[in-house]
Amino acid sequence: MPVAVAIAAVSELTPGRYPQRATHALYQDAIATLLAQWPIKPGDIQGLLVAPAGMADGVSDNIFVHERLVEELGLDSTFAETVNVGGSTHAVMAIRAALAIRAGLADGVLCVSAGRFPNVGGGGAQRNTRMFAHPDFDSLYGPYIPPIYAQVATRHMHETGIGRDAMAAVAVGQRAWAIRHPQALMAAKGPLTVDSVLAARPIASPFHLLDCSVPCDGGGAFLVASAALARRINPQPAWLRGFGEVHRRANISQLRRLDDVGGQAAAQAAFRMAGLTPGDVRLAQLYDSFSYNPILGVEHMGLVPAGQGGRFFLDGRGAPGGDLPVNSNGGLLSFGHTGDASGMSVIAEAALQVMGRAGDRQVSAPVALVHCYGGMMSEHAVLLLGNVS
Amino acid sequence: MSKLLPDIDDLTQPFWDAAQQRRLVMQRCTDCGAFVWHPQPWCRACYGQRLAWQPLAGTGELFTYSVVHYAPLPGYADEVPYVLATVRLTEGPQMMTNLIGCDWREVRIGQPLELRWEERTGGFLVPQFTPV
Repeated sequence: MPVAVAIAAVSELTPGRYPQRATHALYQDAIATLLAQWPIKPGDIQGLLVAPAGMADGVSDNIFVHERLVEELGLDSTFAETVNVGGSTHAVMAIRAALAIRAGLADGVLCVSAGRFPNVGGGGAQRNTRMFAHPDFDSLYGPYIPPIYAQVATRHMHETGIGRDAMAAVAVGQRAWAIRHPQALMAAKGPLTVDSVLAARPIASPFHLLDCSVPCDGGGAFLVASAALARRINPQPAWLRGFGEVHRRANISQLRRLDDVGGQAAAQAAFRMAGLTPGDVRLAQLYDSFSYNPILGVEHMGLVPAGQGGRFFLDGRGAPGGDLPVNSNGGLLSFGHTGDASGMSVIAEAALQVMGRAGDRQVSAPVALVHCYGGMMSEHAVLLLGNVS
Repeated sequence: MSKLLPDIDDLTQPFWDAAQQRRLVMQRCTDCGAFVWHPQPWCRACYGQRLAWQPLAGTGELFTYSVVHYAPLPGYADEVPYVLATVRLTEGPQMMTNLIGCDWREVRIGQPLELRWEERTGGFLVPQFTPV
């Protein structure tokens, strides 16, 4: 039986625009918020993992941010590094932290993130075109993130018959969740309807504007801790019951099958480690850079049979009142997509729900699943959080 | 601003030299016969490093696509809506491409495609596909 490890504490910045704050100040704000909300003392943190900010706008000078934060936290750290695994960075950080704790390298590992996400066509557009598709071949054809993911959606729609109304139902459900979250970026915009999502201007078929996550700035932090430290900080931590990680492919043009993109294997590994099955999951946080991805997510995680993902959302099963809440913070579609920090909100919400600290949107979540992917569905990380170890 | 052109190095020079003669070629492993795309120094199937450039038929079918209404770069803005697509070649490998010379409203997965050459800045030829 491996050593029990938990997410003991979590904090998030309110997604928005922070032109008056330097990017490093956002890291500091995320840490200051965590320290203000939880009884974390000097000596509790021995390890530090930080996600680099600035990748989305073509600035990647934050690769030594861990050094600066180690100094500012006064750590005598046994391990610290800046970690980049795209959108799966934060889930991978939780895995790295758990492995370090189980190896006896640390009792507490602080995971920190800050992100800025300019609108498409902003500063790094050409760099991004060459970064998210093969730089010398695929980039010639005008790809960028939405039409790359859109090709995945188009193929899945072709194979399953799922329509745009199901995608719209995802966006509608997540907006309904966001309205219950005081920090969600789009909460003040009010509810969506399937018709309003379908009527938004087209971006890259099948995605229209409201099928795309909303870019913003933000960040957050969480502490992964050994059992004794976790219990001291939080009477109900979110225990890391299982995890899985798969890295497979860089370019979406080389995708050959949708039933085997990597998320499936990552989920199966996590369930095996936890001794749980998809039927045990009561909340799913599924990285949703686009409205279609939770449809793929519920299928790939084994939460519904292949081809039934669209029906799941059309029936409202993931929305407030549904039997399996999905993205109960509003997701990247309505909580906000903070670029390099985006995966933080996916994990933070799952942890807060398991801890019973999710306010007006609290659901019964003894077991929550987190699925984050990075790159163009290149890497996948799955966490299973539970209220018992 | 014009559309992007590739960076070319020793590895990819044969591909682009052939392309300028309107020939589509792809690396193939002389040990196990697997095609290799994108160009790289070893075979993914057997790790053999004896790769030869083989001519392809220039035919295939549409695996998936997206109709792009919002261009990422100025060089592509005049083209919208353009079709970003993945073609599954008759020989098996898949390539990203655009579908050109067609009505984007009539694009459908599985339709047969054939090779076209698009002339870019300086007369540089880039492979493209069009419905048969």
